Amino acid sequence: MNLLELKDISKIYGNVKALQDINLEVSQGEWLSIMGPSGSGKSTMMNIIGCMDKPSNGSVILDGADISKESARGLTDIRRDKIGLIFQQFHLISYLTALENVMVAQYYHSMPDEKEALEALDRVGLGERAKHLPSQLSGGEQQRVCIARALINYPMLILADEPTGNLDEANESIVLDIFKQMHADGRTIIVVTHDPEVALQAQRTVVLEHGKVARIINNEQDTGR
Amino acid sequence: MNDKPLSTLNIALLNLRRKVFRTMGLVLLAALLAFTLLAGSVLSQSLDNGLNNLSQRMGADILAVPYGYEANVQGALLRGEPSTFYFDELTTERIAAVGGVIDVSPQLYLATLDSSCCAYPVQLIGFDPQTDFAITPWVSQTLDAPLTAGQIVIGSSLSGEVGQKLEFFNKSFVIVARLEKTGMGFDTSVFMDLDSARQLAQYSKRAGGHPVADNANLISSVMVRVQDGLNTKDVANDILQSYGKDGVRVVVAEDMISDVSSSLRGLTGYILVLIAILWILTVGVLLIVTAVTINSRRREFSLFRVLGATKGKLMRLILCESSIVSLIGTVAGMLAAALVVFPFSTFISMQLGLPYLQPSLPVLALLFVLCFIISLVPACLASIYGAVRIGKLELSRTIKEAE
Repeated sequence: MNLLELKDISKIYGNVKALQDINLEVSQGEWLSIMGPSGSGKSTMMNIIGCMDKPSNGSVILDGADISKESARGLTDIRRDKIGLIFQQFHLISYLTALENVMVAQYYHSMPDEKEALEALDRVGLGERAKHLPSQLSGGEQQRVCIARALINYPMLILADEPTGNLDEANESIVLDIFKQMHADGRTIIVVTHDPEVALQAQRTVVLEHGKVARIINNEQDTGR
Repeated sequence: MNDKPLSTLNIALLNLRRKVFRTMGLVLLAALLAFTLLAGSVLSQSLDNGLNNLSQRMGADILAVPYGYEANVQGALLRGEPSTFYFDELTTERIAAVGGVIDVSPQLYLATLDSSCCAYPVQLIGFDPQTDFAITPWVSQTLDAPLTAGQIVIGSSLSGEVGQKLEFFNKSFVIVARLEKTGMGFDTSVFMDLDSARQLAQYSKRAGGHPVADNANLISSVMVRVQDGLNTKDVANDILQSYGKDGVRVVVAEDMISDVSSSLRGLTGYILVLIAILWILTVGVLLIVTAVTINSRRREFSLFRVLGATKGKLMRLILCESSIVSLIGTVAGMLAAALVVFPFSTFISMQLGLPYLQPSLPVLALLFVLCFIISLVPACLASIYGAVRIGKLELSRTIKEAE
């Protein structure tokens, strides 16, 4: 069953066609990666899937509903209820502790629950660092807080933009292990990445070039997984 | 970590607490505005009250004084500046004979360098209880009998209770009454009957000499009341023409009030301009600070939006932050103003050299409420401006800019 369908999606900024006639289906529980050079339309596609932007043409079907014509308020609701976002720069709130950064996502979703937030931090190995401010955490730790925050409201879709882009090898490995665990738990994951090693962890890789899908690689077949 | 559950108020408090310098700067600005508003309003209202009460409380239409002391009598009456000047008491009878004059009463001014009641020089005023119409009406307690030797009435700003004794030139006096607040020099003066004042001059002679000690017929001024319907200035001119050659000069109360009024208009004008400039400055600074803050917190606000915060919730967050800062600043500023304006009202009044009468409690309460509201307006304007700016944030672009 498809969780996400992009039908003839285009995004035009003035005279620039950032995305052209994109068609893509992502099934429930799938791990998909999106690759491509700078300017290929990866971020635009992520913004549209993440309900932070609207397509110029085409439709986005998420969980059976067309969200491409939703109002800004409607998109906020969908983003809050159905999508967990992970960023390259972590984007933690500097004056909130790790725990508060997770709880703030609960607060804007429904109701803060400190016990549950602590458990989420525990799952990414940061239970002991819950009371630290982002400035007191390493890059890898900040990314793990960002993951705990993305997962706290049980989203249908995890959307990660270069999640290992700012991490060293050791932390990249820790974060990828968490992604593998999320996938094993049945989460649907879309990862935008430059790194072929990271892309290879997904079941399929969509390669974008000049705003179009250049090819789709089935990693499981290629690697014999 | 904060023990309170996460809420808009709590997020705002966390932000303000962890950005101490920015918060302190904004609180200081709000405090400065509230301080100026309240202190300026009370000051301006007190001066206005002082002026309104001046003519009513002075009692006399004309003051006759010795040549060259016209300014001194104003200083003594308005500011309580100790002054000593004298002419013959026969002047009282002569002025009483001038047409249009219905009441006259002599006063004798003595100055003391210190006394047990005060930390500053005090004006001692001897008056004739039989003919007085300027002092007695403002005695707050009813006097059972006219003042006698050894009894004094004190101004409202002087310390001492009825029944207590005060010493001047080693001579003891009993306080029998206190004047109501007049906002004039009377507030820091001590009143006694003429004979007691003359006797006191004898005591002061031992301490360094006094003209009254050598000539018991001297007085300092004559308070004159003019018949209703007559032009006071005409009567003053008559007095001057008749006795000017004998060294008598006149001060018309109406002119004195007019002088005070123009000084007061200038001062209250400055105060109002200062308040207006500061208010506009505060609004401007808060708008700039809000714009800068929102610009520097674009990523943070966009992230809250990404996490599901509606524009309304972000507006509440900004309003919450501005309100907390403004409330703390306003309360601190108003408290500081109250601590300066009320305990030091006598000092302020003396420094200004203008009649100064603090407003009544209900008027003060109204001033507090108005200043409180006006102080909070800039924060509300800044919040509205902030909310408009936040509404224009483009999530995808702002998040991407930070990458």
